[in-house]
Amino acid sequence: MAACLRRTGEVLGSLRVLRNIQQQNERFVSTSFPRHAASRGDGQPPKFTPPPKPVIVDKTQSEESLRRFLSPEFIPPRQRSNPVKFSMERKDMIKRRKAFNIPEFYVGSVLAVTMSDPYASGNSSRFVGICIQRSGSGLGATFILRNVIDHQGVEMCYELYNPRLQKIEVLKLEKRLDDNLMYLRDALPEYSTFNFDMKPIPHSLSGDVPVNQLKVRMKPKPWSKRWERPKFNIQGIRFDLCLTEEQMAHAQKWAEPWHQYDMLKEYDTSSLEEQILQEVQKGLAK
Amino acid sequence: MTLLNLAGTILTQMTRLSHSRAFSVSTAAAAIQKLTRIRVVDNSPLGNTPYHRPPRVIHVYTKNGVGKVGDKVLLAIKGQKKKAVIVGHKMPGERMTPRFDSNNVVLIEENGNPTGTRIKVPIPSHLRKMEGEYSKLLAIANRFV
Amino acid sequence: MRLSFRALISHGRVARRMGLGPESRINMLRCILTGLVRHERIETTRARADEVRFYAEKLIDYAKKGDTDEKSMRMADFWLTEKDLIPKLFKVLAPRFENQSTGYTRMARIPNRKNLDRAQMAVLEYKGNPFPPLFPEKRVSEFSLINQLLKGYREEKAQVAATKTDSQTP
Repeated sequence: MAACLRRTGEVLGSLRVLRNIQQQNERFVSTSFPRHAASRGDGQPPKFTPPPKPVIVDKTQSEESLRRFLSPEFIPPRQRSNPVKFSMERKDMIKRRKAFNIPEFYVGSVLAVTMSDPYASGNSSRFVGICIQRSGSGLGATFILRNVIDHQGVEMCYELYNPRLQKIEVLKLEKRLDDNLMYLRDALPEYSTFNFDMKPIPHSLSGDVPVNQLKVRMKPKPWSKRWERPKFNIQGIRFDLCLTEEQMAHAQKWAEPWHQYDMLKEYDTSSLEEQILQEVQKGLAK
Repeated sequence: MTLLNLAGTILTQMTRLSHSRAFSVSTAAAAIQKLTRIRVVDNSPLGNTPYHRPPRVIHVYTKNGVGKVGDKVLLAIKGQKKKAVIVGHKMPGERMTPRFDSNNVVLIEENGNPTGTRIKVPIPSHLRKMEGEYSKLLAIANRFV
Repeated sequence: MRLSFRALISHGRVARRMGLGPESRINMLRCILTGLVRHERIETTRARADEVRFYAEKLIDYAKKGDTDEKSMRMADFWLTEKDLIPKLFKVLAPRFENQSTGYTRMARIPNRKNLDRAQMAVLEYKGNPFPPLFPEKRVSEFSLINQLLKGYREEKAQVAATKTDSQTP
């Protein structure tokens, strides 16, 4: 009888140990086999191993680009104004960027912008379009998105640092052959149409940004600007389809071959860029 | 559209003759004024039946003769006079407002009711500010940008 | 709001209008720059000298990058119309200014031209040229009266100080 009791006591005790071991090992292994338990062999409870830390994936801030990219509005224009003005503006820009993420994008990328609008349903309105121009410097920097909705071309000029902007997502990150795609106004509408429900195309965070070598077909002349003139230096239009050799030669009359050798027109920003990039990276990391 | 573009080239040529060293100033810089050709975007029969002359603005109901989004204008369509409301122009306006590739207009009656029953083309959402006058117009609008 | 380019307002424009137009201006500056590189000291009107000064210094900056740099070679080829000066630019002028970063030229004003136009003239030169200096160096002569008196005063002071230390030491 006593032996039975002792046996049950032993069994119960071993069961309790087993249960403890099981509870501790539940997070590692869901089987009832205690794997890492009590290899100490002297009957003491196994050393407490803390559970693995949960990995919190922060989906609010999109992944930081690993490219060394400085947004063009940080570079001060060539002016006679005091550099203190630009450094103060940069501080404000960094402050805004910490609160609101402005991703890296270029002229030719497709963006979706959500803006707060008191007159729209749900107080916010979304617009998807291709970026055709980035202009302005400092806090007044703007970018223009173009799209064709219901066969009507619409362009929206957004200010990057306007507090009304709620979200900027890059649906397709790419560059084009030109810095300024204003000629899309005179191109066939198929080149400016982008679906509002377009899914974001994943892009690599390091390496070179892909350059789209697309050459666009134009509507018949007259255009809003004479894009064939060398002053615009446009690479992204199929001139061979819309202009004759004569017209191209005639346009070359406005070429100014001395322009590339005129040192007065050069604005070397490489040293400024390095400095400002370091400043911005330091400011954002704080 | 080609007529518009022709007039555009003539204008640019004139500017070129006057100051021969100037780069051409784009013709889309001006908003809607007298004698601008206009595109009617609702589905009213008056706006959609073809005529040998495009609809033109003959009067703009503002203090200066320049019409922006939301201003009333008087059009000459098919030999008749008709009032209309501007719902979009080629001139770039305020920063966060849309700019359209054509000068769009919606025909309207004397009491402010729109003539057509549907507007397919997107309308700028800041027109909703004028809820009182143009509520019926906003009701028939399909899409807001 | 776009103002036309050729508005009568010239705020912020750094390039002067010379000659018959932008092409003519660049060609004129090219000729003057070539002459400057050949002779290292030239005399022109004040406005032209001022314009060329900027281009002369930028050309030296490009030359400093070296012979092998393609852009420098193209710049030198464009700006120097007499091609025998290109080796002079890279082999003589660039090494001369190796240790300086700015200020390779000097401009001095001279009396107006004697012609009917009475144009304001200036002399533009590269520093380190072999000619006698434009501004005479001020040489202080030891044999002038004041310097001799001061010399005597310093010697007397030294003598007095010497006698004092002699009297103090023993």
